[in-house]
Amino acid sequence: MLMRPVARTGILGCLLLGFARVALAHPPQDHGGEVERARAASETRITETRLSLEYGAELITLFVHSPEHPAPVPILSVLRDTFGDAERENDLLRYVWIYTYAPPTLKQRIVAAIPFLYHQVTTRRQADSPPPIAADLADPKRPVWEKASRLLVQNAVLDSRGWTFRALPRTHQRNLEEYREAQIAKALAILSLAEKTGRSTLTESEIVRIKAYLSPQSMLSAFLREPTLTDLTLRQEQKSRERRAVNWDFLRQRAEEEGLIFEPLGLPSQPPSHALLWVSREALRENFRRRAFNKRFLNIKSPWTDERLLRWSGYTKTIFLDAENRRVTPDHPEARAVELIPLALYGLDFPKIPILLVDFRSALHVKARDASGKVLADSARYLLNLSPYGDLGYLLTRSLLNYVTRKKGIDMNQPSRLKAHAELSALLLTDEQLDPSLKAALARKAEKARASVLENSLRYQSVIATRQHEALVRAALQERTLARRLERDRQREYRRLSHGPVARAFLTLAHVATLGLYTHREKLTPELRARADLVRRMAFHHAQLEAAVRRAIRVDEERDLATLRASLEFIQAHAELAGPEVVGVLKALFLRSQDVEFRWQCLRALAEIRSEKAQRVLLALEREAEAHPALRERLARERAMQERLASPSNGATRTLPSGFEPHPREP
Amino acid sequence: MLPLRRLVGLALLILMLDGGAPWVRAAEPSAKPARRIVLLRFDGLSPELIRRYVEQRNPQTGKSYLPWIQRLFYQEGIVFENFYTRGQSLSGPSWAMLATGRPQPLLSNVEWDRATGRLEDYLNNVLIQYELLRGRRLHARAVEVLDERGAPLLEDLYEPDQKRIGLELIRRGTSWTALARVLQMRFPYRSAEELLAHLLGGPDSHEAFDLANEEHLLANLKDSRFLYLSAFYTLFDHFVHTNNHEELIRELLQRVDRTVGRLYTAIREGPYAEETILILISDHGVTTHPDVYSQGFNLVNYFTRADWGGHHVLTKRANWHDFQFRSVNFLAQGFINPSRESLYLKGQAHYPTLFLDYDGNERAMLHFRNSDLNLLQLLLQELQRRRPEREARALRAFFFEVLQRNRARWERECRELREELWALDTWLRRLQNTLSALPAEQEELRKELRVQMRNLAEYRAEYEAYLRMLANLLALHPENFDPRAVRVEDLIRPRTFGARNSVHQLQNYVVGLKDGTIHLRPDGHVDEAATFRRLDYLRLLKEHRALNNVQPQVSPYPVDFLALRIPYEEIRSALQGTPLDTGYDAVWLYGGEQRQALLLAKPSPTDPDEWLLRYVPIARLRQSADGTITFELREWQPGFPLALWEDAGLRVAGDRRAWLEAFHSEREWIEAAHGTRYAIAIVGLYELLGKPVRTFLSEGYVERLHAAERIAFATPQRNGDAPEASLLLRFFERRRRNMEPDLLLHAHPYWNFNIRDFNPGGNHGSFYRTATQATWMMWGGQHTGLKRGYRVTRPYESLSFVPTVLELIGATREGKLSEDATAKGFRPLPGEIVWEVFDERSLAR
Repeated sequence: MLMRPVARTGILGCLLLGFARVALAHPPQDHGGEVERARAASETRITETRLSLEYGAELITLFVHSPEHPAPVPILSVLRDTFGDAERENDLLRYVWIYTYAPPTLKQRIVAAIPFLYHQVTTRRQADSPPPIAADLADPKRPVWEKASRLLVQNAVLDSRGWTFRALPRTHQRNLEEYREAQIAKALAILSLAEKTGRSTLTESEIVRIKAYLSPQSMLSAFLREPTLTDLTLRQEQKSRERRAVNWDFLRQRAEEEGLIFEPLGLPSQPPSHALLWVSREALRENFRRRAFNKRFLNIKSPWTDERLLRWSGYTKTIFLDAENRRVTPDHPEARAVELIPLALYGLDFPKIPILLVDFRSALHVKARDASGKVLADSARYLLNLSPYGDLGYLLTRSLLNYVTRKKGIDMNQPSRLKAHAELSALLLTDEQLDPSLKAALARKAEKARASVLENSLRYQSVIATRQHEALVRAALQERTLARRLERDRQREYRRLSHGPVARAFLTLAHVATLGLYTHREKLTPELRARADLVRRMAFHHAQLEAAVRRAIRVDEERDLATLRASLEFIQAHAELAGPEVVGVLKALFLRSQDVEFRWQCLRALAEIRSEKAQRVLLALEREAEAHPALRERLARERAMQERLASPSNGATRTLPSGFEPHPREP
Repeated sequence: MLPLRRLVGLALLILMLDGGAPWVRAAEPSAKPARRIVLLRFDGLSPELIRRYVEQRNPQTGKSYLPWIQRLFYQEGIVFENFYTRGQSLSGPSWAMLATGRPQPLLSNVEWDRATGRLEDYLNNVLIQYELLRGRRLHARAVEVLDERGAPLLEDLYEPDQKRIGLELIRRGTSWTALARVLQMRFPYRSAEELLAHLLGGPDSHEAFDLANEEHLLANLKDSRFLYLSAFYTLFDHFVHTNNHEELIRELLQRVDRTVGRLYTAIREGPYAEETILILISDHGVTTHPDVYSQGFNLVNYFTRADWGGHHVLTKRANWHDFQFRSVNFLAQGFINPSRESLYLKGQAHYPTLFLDYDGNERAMLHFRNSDLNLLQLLLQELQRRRPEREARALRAFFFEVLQRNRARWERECRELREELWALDTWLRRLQNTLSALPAEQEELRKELRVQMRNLAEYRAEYEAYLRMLANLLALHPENFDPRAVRVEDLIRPRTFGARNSVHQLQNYVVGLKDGTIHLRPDGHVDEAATFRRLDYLRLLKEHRALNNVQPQVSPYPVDFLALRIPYEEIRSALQGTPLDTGYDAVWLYGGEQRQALLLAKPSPTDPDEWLLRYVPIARLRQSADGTITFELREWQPGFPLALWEDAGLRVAGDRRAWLEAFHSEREWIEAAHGTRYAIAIVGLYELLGKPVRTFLSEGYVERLHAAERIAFATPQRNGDAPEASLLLRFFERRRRNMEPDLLLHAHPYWNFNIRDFNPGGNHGSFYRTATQATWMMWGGQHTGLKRGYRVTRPYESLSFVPTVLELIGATREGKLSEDATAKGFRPLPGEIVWEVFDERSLAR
C-alpha cells in the first residue's frame, strides 16, 4: 500500500528518462506516459503538467499561454513528496520554484549593492541552471532563522565597521528580497488563475497552503499554525479584493470628473487589478486650455494644456460609443468613433489610492514617486545613520510623515509598487484582449518607471523561465540533485521519528561544529519508512478533524460525519503516533457533538492513546458521558464486556477509566 | 360497578389515543406567552442571500452551507419570505420602526433642521458613546428624539434588571460591559498566536464590535433574571458595502449561521429553553451582484462645481473622509465641503447652501437653501458694493419685491413661533417644578427630566435665533433701508435654509449672477432672466449621464427618479374638480420631462386610520412663478417611475389598467406590488413624503411629564389639554417638518451617492425589492405558541414586527394592550399582527 513494487519503479524511471530527453526540447508539449497533461482547456490560459519522479515525488508545473510566446511559459513548479504512491493522505508539499526568479548574475549583484541606485542597469538574458527554491513549504521557519541571523550579523558586526559595510550589504540584501518578492507576487497572481479553474492537479487546500507560505507577510507569520495562517491569507485576499474594488471606483470617479476615459484591466475571471486612463482626441480639441484639471490622486499633468497631446503620434486606439456612451461594435446604428490617446496606467491593489505605474508622457516622475520612499529611508539609514529601532525621534518623524502622506493620499513615500508591477507583468503575460503594440508599450514604459535594480527585462523573462524549467527537469531526472535534496529533507523527518528533541539538538550541534563534515543520517529501513508514512497520514487526519472542529458549534449538526469517522478510525488504529494536539482535537470533537456513535468513537480513539494527557481528558469526558443516557448505557455495556474478558490472573493495574481499556494491539 | 369503570376507562383510553378529547388536550402543556426573548439584529442581512445558501449543499461538509439556520428556522421555526422595510431601506429609520412599531419615527439616519441648522447624526456611534460617557445624555440621541415623538421602545416593557442589550443604535443608555468587550476583542490575549495573528491582520472594528456583542449576549443568557436580550451585528452590512465577492459573502453568512448555532446551543443550556423565542431580524437587504461593482456618483464633487450651482455643501461626514485630517473629528456637527467655484459665496464657506444626506447610498436627500434666501443674500451683497444709482435703485426695489413675496409666510411663521416658544418656556418651568419636587430616590427620572430640559432649552435658543432672523428681515423697510449699515449675518444666518423650496424654485433655483453684471429692463427694473443664473435641478440631476460606462448592467444615468412633496395648497388648482382631488399633499415622482407620476392619497371612508393610495402617470409638471401648477395626464405605458405597468411581478385581480386607475388601501398595494422590482415603494414613498407630519407624532412626550408630575406632586398639575401641551406638540411637528428634504434622489441599480468613501460591493437605502426585503425568522421553544417549520408567504412590513412580538410575549391580547404596557407608555400600534405564526394552542388561548 505504501510503496510501489520495485520493478514498477524501475520501469517508471526508464520511462521518465525517456521523457526527459523529449521534454527538454519541448517541455510542455510532449510528455511521456507518466507525465499527464492535466488540462489544456480552451477557456483558460493556464495549463499544468505533472511529472512523476521515481524517488516518490511529483513535480507539478504551471504554464501560462501567452499570445506573444509560441510555447507556454512555465511559471512555477511545486514538488509533492508522495512516498511513491497515489494516495493523497501521505503527500507533503515541499519546494516551490518560480521560473522568472533567476539567481542574479555577478554584474547584477554588484549593481544591486550600490546604494541610491534605483534603476535596472543590467539584465540576465538567459539561465542554464535550475532556479533557486523560492520556498520550502515543509520547513517554513528556515528563512526566518536565516534572515534573523543575517540581521544579527549586520547589526552587531557590519554596521559598526563604517559606511561601506553598513550600506552595501543592506542595499544588496534589500534588492535581492524585493526581486524575490516581485517574482513571488507574479507567480501568485497566476496561481490564483489556476485556482479559479477548479481543475488543478493541486487540491484547493494545497493551493491555499502555497499561497499562505508564499504571500509576502511578515516573517513572523511562519510561527503561526497552518489554519491560522490560512485564515490570515484569506483575510488578506479579501482585503486585496476590497482594495481593488474601492480603487476601481475611485479611479473611475476621478476619470469621470476630469472628463477622461477609464478602462479597467485584469486577469481573466479576476476582479480588475489595473486600469488605463485615456483622453479622447475629440475632447482634447474641444477642451484644450478651456477645462480645469485637478491632478489630485491621478498624479499626471493636465491633458487639457499639454501641447504634446495635440501632436500625439504615439499609440492610439479607436473605440465606438453609442449615444449613451456605451461601447458598441462599429456596425451599431448609433456607433460613433472615438480616438483615444493613452495617458496613464494605475495599479488598483494598493492601499488607499490607485497607484500610478505608467505615465505615457513621462517615465521619470513615476520612477521618482516609486523611489521616494526608498530615498528617504536610505538617506536616513546610510547618510544620517538613523534607525527606526534606535532613534525614537526618527521613528516618530517617519511615522508622522507616513501618516500624513497616506492620509492625504499623496503618491510619495508610499509602500513599494512592487506588487502592482509584478501583477502588471502577470497581466501582460496572460492578457489576450489588449492590443500587442499597447502591451509592448506598457511593458516598456513600466520597466522604465520601475525603481527596481534586479528585475530582469520582461522580454527575457520567458526565455529565462523556459530555460530554468528545462534545467530543473534535467536536475530532477538526470542529475538527481533534486532526489538528493529530497532525501536530505526526508532525513529530517526520519530523525524526528527516531530521536527526541535533545538528541536532535546534539546532532545539529555536531553538524555545525564540524562545519558540515559530520551529518547524521538515519538508516532507512522499511519500518522507518512505514512509520514516516503513518506519521504523515496521522497529520493529514489530524488536519481533517481540526478543520472540522475549528469554529464548529456542533460538528454533527454542521457536517456529514462519514469522513470524520474515517479519520477517527485511523487515529484509533494508530493511536501510538497521535500527539497531544490530536487529544485536544478529539476532546473538542466529543464536546461539540451530540451523535452518540460519533462521541463513542471519539472516546474509543482517546482510550487508545496512551498518554497522560489523553487519560486526563478521558476521565473528564467520562463524567460528561455519564450524563448522557445513551452513552452511559454504552459505557456500562463496554465495562461489562471488559470485565468478562479481563482475566483475574492477569494482574494488570487499571490506569484508564473503566470501560476504555484499549484493545490489545498487534505486535 | 367494575365493568362500568372498565368501560369508562376504555372509552377514555380510546379518546386519548385519538387525541380528540378536549380535557385530554387541556392536560397538555398550555401555551403561555413567551417568557424570554432573544433578538439577533443583523444590519443589512438579506433574506435572499440566506435562502440561496440554505438551499445549497456545502461539498466540504455534506450539509447545507447554513445548517443552523436551515434547522432552526426553516425546519423548526418560522421564516418570513416576504418581509419588507417600510420606506427607505436605511438603518436608522428601519431599526427605529422595528424598535417602536410606529411609522417613520425617524426620517433618515441623519436629520437636518433647515430652520436652525441643527444636525442630528443617529449613526455616529463614537459621538453617542462620548456623550453618554460625559453624562450629557442618558440615551442615544435617536432615542431622545423618539421619546419626543412619543414612540416607546419594545425594550421599555422590561425593567432595567430584566433586560440585557449590547451596543445598539436604538437602545436606552449603553452597555459599558459590552463596550469594554469591544476593546478586549480588538486586543485579544488568549494566546500568543492569537495576538500575533491579530497584529498581522486581525479583526477590524466591526468584527470586534460583533464579537463583543455576541459575547455579551452569551454571558447574560445564563442568567435567569434577564428576559429580554438583544445583540446587534454590523459586520455584514459593512462588508457587503465594499465587497461583492460571492465566496466571501457566503463565508460571512456562515458566520451568521454559527452565531445562530451558538445562541441556540446557549439557549438550550440556559434557563427557560422551552419558553424562549429566538428572533433573527434585519432592517433591510442589499443590492449587490457578484459581477457588478456599484458605481459612486459623488454629488458633493458635482454640486461644488459652477455648472452645478457652486454650492458649499454640508454633509455629516467629510467628502472622501479618509483623505482629510478633519475627518478624525467624530464629534463635529457636520462638515462643510467648500466650493471654489461658488458664484456669489466664494470664500464664505460658513454659508452652506446645500445639505446632502447620502446615507444608505442608493438614495440621497437634498436640502437646498431656499432660493429666495439666495436671492436676498446675493442682492444684499450687490447692494453693499458701490453701484450706479440706477442699478442700486433697481436692486433695492427687487430686494424688497423678494422680501414682500415671502412676507405673509414669515409673518405667520413668526406669530406661530412666538406662541410655541412661550409654550416651551412654560413647559420648561413645569419641568423645573417637577424636578424640584421629585424625591431624591427618583434619580433616574430626575436625570431624564434634566436631559429633557437641556434639549428643550437648546431647541428654544435655536428657534429664537431663527425667529430673530425672520423678525430682522420683516423689519426692513425701503424707506430707511441702508444696505451698508446691515450685517448680512443678521438677516441671513449661516446654516439657516428657510422654507422648503417650491417646485417653481427647484425648477428655477438661483445660484448666482449669470455674467457678474446686473441687467436692467428698459423700465428700470432688474431683468431677472438676464441677470440671475438659475438651474432646473430636477432636470439637471435626472439627465446627468456618465461618460464611462464600462459595466453593461449599469445604466449610464445615475439617477433613477426624484421625489418630492407638493403641498395640497399648491396643487389644488390643478386637481380641483377631478377624482384626484383628495385634499391631501401629493408626492411627485420625476423620471424625466415625459415620465412623471403623482402619488395621491386620502383616508379610507370606512376607517380614517387607513389610507387609500393611487398612482397617476403624468408629464411636464411645471409651477409658474405665481404658484400655479400644471401637468399633463398620461396613458399607462412602460417607463414611468417605479415601472409598475411593465413589471410582471405586479399581481392584481382583473384588468391591470382598471386596477391601477383606482385608489387602493396600503394592504392592497403591498399584496399587489411586493413582488415587483420596487416592492412596496408606493406605500413607503407616500408615507415618507406625503403623509401629514402629525401622523408620525403622538402625545407620549406630554404624557411622560404627566407621569412624572404624578410622582412628584400629590395632586395632578395641569391636564394634557393645557395650551402649552398642544403648542409643544405643534413645535415638535414644526421641527419634524423642517427636517423634510427638498428632493429625494433614487439611484439606478448599482449606482450610489456615497461621498464619504467608496461602496463598490453593494448598497441600500433605495426602494428596490433587493434593498427593502429584510430578514425575519423566529424559533420558539415548545411552550411559546409558535408554529414549527412554517413559512410565511403573505407579505408583511416593518410595522408588523412589534405588535407580533407584543402578542407573543403577552403584552397584548388579541391586539389589546395590557395594563402594564399601557402604563409604560404604549399605545395601540398601526401594524398588523402576524396571526399565522401562532400555533393552534396559542390561538385558542
